[in-house]
Amino acid sequence: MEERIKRALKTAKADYLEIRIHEGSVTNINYTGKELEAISESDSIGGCVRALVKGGWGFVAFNDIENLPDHVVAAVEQASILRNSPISLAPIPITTEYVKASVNIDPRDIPLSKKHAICQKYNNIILSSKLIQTSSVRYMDSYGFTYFANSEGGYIAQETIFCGMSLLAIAKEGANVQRAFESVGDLRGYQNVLGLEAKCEEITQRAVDLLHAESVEGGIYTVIADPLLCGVFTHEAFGHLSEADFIYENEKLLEIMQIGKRFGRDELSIIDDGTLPGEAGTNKYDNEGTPTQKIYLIKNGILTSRLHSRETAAKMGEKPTGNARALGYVNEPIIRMSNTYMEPRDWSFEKMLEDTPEGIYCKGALGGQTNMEMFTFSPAEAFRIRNGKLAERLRDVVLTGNVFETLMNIEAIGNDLKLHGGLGGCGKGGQFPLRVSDGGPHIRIRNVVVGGR
Amino acid sequence: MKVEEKILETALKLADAVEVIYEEGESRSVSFDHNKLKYIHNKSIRGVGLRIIKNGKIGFSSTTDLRIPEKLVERALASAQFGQEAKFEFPSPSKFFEVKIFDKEVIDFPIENAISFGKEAIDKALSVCPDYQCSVEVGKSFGTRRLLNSRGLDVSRNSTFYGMGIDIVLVKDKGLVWVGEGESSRRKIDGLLRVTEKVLEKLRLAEQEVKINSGILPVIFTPKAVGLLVAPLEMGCNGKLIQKGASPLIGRLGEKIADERLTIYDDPTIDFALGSYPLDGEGVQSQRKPLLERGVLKNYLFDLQTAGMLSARSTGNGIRGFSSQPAPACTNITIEPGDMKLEDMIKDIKYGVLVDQVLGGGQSNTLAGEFSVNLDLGFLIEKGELVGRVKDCMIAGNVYEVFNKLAAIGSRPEWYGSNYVPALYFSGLSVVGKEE
Repeated sequence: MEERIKRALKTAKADYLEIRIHEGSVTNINYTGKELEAISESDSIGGCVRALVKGGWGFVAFNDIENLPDHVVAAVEQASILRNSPISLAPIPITTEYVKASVNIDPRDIPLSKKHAICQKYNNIILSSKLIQTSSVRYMDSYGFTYFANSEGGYIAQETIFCGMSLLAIAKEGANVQRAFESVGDLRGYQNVLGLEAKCEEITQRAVDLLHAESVEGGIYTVIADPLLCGVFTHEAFGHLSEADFIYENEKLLEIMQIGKRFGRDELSIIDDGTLPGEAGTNKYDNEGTPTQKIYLIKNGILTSRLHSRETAAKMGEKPTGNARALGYVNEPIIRMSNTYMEPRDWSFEKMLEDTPEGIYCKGALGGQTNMEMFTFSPAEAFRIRNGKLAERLRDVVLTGNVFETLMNIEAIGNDLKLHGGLGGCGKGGQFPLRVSDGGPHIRIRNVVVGGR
Repeated sequence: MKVEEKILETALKLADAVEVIYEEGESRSVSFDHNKLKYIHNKSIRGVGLRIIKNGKIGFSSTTDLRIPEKLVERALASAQFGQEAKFEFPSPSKFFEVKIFDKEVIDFPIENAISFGKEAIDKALSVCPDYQCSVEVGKSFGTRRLLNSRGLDVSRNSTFYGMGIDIVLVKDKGLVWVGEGESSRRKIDGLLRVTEKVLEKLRLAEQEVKINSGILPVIFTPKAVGLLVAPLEMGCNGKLIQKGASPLIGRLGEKIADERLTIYDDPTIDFALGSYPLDGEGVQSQRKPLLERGVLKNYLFDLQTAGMLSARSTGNGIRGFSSQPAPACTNITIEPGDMKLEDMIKDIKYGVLVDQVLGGGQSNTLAGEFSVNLDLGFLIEKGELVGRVKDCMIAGNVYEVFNKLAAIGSRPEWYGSNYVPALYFSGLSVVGKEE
């Protein structure tokens, strides 16, 4: 493969050109209720060429890698049509490296029958409760090998092994249907999916409890978010806005997003780190061949850096950060987060709770979305806080915040950092789901708008 | 012999029944970012999926690596050892009626020509406000799908797609406004400038920002926002969730669950609509059927296996790509129009909200009908007029309740993706704003 790619590169007539070939396989198992809805192992091979000619990009994706030289020509031709003003790419070291994945247990060493058996075991635990109507247990592992080479002489082959599982319990009484969900997934290996019996029992109980929980009353609340939800909050509330492709050509936004500007209190630091071993968003190199790094986006409340591709870094006179990531060979790299988290401080959760007369405690995360100004995020479960103690369970809690205000409203940051990946991921520009980890400690935010009836 | 035929032949020696789906497609697009021409994409993707039945059990695998078909067969067989019991037979060849999903004009259109459309649209936007940041994408694609099975079915269909869209972002001193609009079809369509005008009009309405008083208020959903309200019904009517007993609509066929003015169809037979097809992903004829007829629940949607498990018939909703097994899903959703113009709905409201874009759809318990969303783009209505944009505001409710609080249905449906729906006007929904 290396020979083939290097030969094709030689023919390229472009200001810059890169080739990426991906080979891999995926195992999927899905129990829904009593039925095994899917069990399969599938293979794929495909590649792409990205060419830069006078500031315009041509991108070609394909499965017929035997015709790679033709695709190189096509990408260059396409890029040549655009006729923009030339742009530069920030320099990166020219690297030749083979990056091997490191996992506790390689899922490829586990036979399909064992993977099936563990899904069946978890599924049976969930279905054993009388009030549970149905379940979903989804197992996924993927093995991938990505060859990357560019016209500057870089050649990187990276191996990635992902393994994870999601668990869903659905309880029902008449038309009242409630769900509880958990998901694990990252690059640590097959051990991720072992020993989840207690989690299965927990979501089963939670789904049943939700049948009799009260819908939250809409209003403005003080909210304590657990580490998982803090992660989603960090990702939505600030992570996306630090992606330079949204701001690098926008002067007005650049003024707002000036390095050195205050975005939070002194205690607030937000980090993106693509190097954390085993986390879902980890890669040694991004899909432009830039090494990943630990980047402080906000340090002690002050904007210190942002996430870059080589193009945005050059344009803004900053350094590339290794955040140009592509979902697959069908996609061009765009700026994405990797593992994003808020740094812990000194509040214990117990003290934070005691110190909160009224509010909502939100645990786990179902999802989040942002339009770069406002964002929503929703917990997997929620409880009312009264007089510094957890009170009744709530349901249907969706929170909203404003990027430019809510970070200032974080009034307590806990001492218990946790990161979390999962089977889901981040979506941007049609590329979904990209594996990322999010995290943080417990945090308390005031003035959060909560929707409700 | 073509690879899909070879796979069928090889698999049939080892399995009792076989189905092969082969797909290839090519898509091309031009995109502008931050007002500049940025990318030309060309993606040509192909792949094959193999579903078999062996000893009464289903097996599946897929690949994009066509060099070793034997491995695909091996993997499908391995999966059949564990697979679900098959409750259906692959369909045999039969006569079916066509639905138009192919337009040669799309094929003949050179995508480079879209560059001038993009420039024109951006020039138009910048003439209104030089601070606008526009991104434009115009794309087209062509695809072929061939479905073969061991009962002799062998059907190939070509399809085309053409889409265009523009997003405009305006950064203000505190915050920003982001409006996007697009149109797509299986036919070649024109009118990026018209789409741009739509965005510009919304940006104009959003210039003024106003605060809102929380409460139970009358709310209008534009056709673009109605998708949020349809999603729970799509889930509720999904045969898979019926079979699992999870849908709140189980056992309620024939029951009136919504206002009697509401009639909603799942309709894959509309020529050139995005969700249309003559045959579904397992070769079953597509059909138009009501989900709700005058408020009465009429149909669930099935593929072959799910229908088989419930002794029902497939409704031709077995949706799939080559890399997955079929599963029931909606196609094009249409809501029968009513008699009230959107302008008249606005005039009718003393104090209320017009919802156009939302954030956080799908983050609630959609299966139960719940929604709780941020007003990404929404406007306050005062004394029959739109007075400005409302931000940091949540709207929440339950679809199965609000479908019974309908004040009026809009008279002019619009296409948004595969939904063809009018505006919906509700008498009272919970609105929470940020009063400080």
